[in-house]
Amino acid sequence: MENVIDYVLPYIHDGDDLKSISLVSRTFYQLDCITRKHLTVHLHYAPNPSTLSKRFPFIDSLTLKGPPGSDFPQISATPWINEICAKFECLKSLHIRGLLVSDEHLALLAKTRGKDLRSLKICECRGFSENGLLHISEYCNYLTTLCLKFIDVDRAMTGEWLRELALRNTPIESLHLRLISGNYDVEILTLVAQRCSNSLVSLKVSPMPLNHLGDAFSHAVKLQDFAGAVFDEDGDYTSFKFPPSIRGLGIRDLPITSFSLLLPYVNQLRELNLTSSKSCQCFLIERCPNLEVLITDDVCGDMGLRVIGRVCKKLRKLTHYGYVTHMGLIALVQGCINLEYLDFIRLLNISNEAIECVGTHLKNLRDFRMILLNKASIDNGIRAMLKGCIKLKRLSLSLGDEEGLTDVGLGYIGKYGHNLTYLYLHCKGVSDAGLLELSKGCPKLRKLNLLGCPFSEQAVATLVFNIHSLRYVWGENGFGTTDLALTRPTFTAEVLTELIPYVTLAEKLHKLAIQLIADGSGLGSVKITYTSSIATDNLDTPLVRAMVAKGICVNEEQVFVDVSSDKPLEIIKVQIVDVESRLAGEIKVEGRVKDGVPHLTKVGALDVDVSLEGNIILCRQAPDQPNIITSVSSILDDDNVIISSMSFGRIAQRKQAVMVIGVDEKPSKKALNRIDEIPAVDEFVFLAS
Amino acid sequence: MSTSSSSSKKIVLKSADNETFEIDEIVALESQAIKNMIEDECADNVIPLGNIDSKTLSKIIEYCKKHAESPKKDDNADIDEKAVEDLKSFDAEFAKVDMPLIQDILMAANFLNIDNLIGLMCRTIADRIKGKTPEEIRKILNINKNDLLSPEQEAKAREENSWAFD
Repeated sequence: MENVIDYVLPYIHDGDDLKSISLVSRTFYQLDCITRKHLTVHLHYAPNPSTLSKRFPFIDSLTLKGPPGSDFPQISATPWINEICAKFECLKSLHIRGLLVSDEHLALLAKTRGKDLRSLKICECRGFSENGLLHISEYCNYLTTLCLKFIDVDRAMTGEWLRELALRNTPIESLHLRLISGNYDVEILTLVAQRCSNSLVSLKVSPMPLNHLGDAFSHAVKLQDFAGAVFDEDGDYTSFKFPPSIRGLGIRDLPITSFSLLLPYVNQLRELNLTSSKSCQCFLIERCPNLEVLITDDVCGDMGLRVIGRVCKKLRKLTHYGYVTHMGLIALVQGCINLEYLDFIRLLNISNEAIECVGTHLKNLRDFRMILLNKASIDNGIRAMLKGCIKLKRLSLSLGDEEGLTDVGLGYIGKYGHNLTYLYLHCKGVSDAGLLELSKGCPKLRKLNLLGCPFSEQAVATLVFNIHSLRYVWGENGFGTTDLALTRPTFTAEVLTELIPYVTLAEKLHKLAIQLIADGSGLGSVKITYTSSIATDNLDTPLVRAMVAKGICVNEEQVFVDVSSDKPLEIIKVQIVDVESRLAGEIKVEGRVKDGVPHLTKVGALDVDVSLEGNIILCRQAPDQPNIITSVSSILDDDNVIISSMSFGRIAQRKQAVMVIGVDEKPSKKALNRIDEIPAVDEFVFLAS
Repeated sequence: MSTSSSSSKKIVLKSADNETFEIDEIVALESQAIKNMIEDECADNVIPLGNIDSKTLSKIIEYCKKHAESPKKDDNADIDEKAVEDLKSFDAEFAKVDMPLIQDILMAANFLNIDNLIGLMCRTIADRIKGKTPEEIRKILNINKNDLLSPEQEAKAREENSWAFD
């Protein structure tokens, strides 16, 4: 019989559902492999591109993401570009974010996949120049979407690549060019509009004088969205017209006196971005009843928000750069109940009631960002807001030096932030206790961005332990740049190589400690102590330790002790309390990494030095029974097992002596039985490598 | 069991368990496969459906009857909203059956080529596995234990799902 899932799969669109489906059975897994169309790959966690192409060979849309929070991408796109060019013959859409991309990468990509690519987006990447873009222009002739966002190309850029693109590629529908540096002039833009006049729907560019754009607009008859104009007071606008179907506009520095330019279009406008005008925009906003997206720095504060709340009933996204208070916020959310995105740059004296009001009215809110300039506590408001806005995925709370958010508020974020995936906190009035409360909840949190929060490394490490979904934690270091601290064992190759011995050490010590538990005394409580070193302001260190400890799945207690040295960890000590040891005394083993090899350095009070790469034999000497050393070593000798180290002594005062022997090869079962039978050996533990 | 009305032409369907169903031709035409047979004059008095049992077939006939009676979009550009709502609620009620039957109906609808019914059954199954864990989906769809991924394969796929691929 054919499979039901063959038919059902096209009806499932949610990524998490597809993930679950892939694990149901072999049939489902294989079907998911060949049918998945879009994938986002987090490069830090996917070190091997061939894994991707093997599992999902028929992907037609691929997003490659570097880690967030850095202006200077560190990960090279090389292996991924090579893989894309060798495999993925169905690829039509590629989005690269936060990676190092070179001219060679773009050349290879353009030459091998250029004819098939319909959409290319490169955002927040560095490392290429206009030469690379020229390859895109030459070979990618069927692009409908091209997006270069927050790209630093080069100051010497002439825009020649864009002229080439316009000449060779006419089906472009969407062209978004937000370059940090690098230029092109209005004349080239006009050429784009002319050549792509039948297709161009959306054009977003680096700001250029509005009065120079008249020619481009006259060609681009289908243009609906435009952003990237600066109003020039001295310009001539007598015959200026926007494209007839315009529905989204972004213009900087538009003065009140020139709002009349927009009046013929107010009923059709869906998106408006008016910034740096430092004026009252109420006159214009009042006449745009169909706005869905608004970015404004209106200076009228609460009065402006009242206008928006009264007129813009369809508003979904609002970014507001002006000063507003809780009165305005309440008026806004009561009016615009369809808001999904709300970004306030300056909120003054916000009351709990106002934030609660957001929860009451905005049931579709997914993204809420605010910079608060008030001292009063907003803890209760945050609780009410999270209880109401159940779809909220992203929350940014910035209080700067103010203390409006406390540990109680952090606890609420944990308790009620069921769907939060991204959290940004910038606040002073909180402590580790609050972060620990938060870490008991937020089960879907993936990214945590901390700025100026007084959290200790230990608290952040605990958070990483508790929230399993957490992908990235990053915060600001003392130099104004962000430090990324990853949360999972797949660090870069070098770091990983450095860490492996510590992971092995932790695992071995734990295994040994467990073996030392006398029969019938239960598991007890495992306590692991890490003695480390690296400076405390480096967020990486606790995470490294957290990772080492993650190799062990018991209810463990961690204690971090900081001393100084340059190794990730000095000593790992595993202690099991409240149980009987087979070697007598308490169970306590210690180890450290020497020259990259994990070593056992202490059993109880006895100093030993045994490599944990080999096998270990521990024997407790029976009272009044001599010759334990010779008996054991002769048995090993008979078995052709070479002893690499041997320590003998007492593990605790007034207890019997213990012998710890390191051997390279594993002794035969017979030899081990013989050792166990020696009268002088009271207890015997063997730890295999 | 039989379903009939007035004077129009009749078609007889025979299920795998040899039960016969007499239905109006207009109802049978909801099935593209039967429609093709009739048009190609391959349909004798009785159309045997050797892979559809009577329980499934009677459900399918119930569905086709309702949909054949409802005004079609192409017939009338402005069908009243009430008819659309009525059909919607019929579909919702119709889909309230257990999973094995839904799967049987889906397979039969696929064989008989009844587009709307295939869509309805697929949406129903998709809705039932939405937001569920792999274990729950296995239970819902009664997945054969022999077809499970090995623990290593599952662990690897799980790891990739959680961290590398979205």
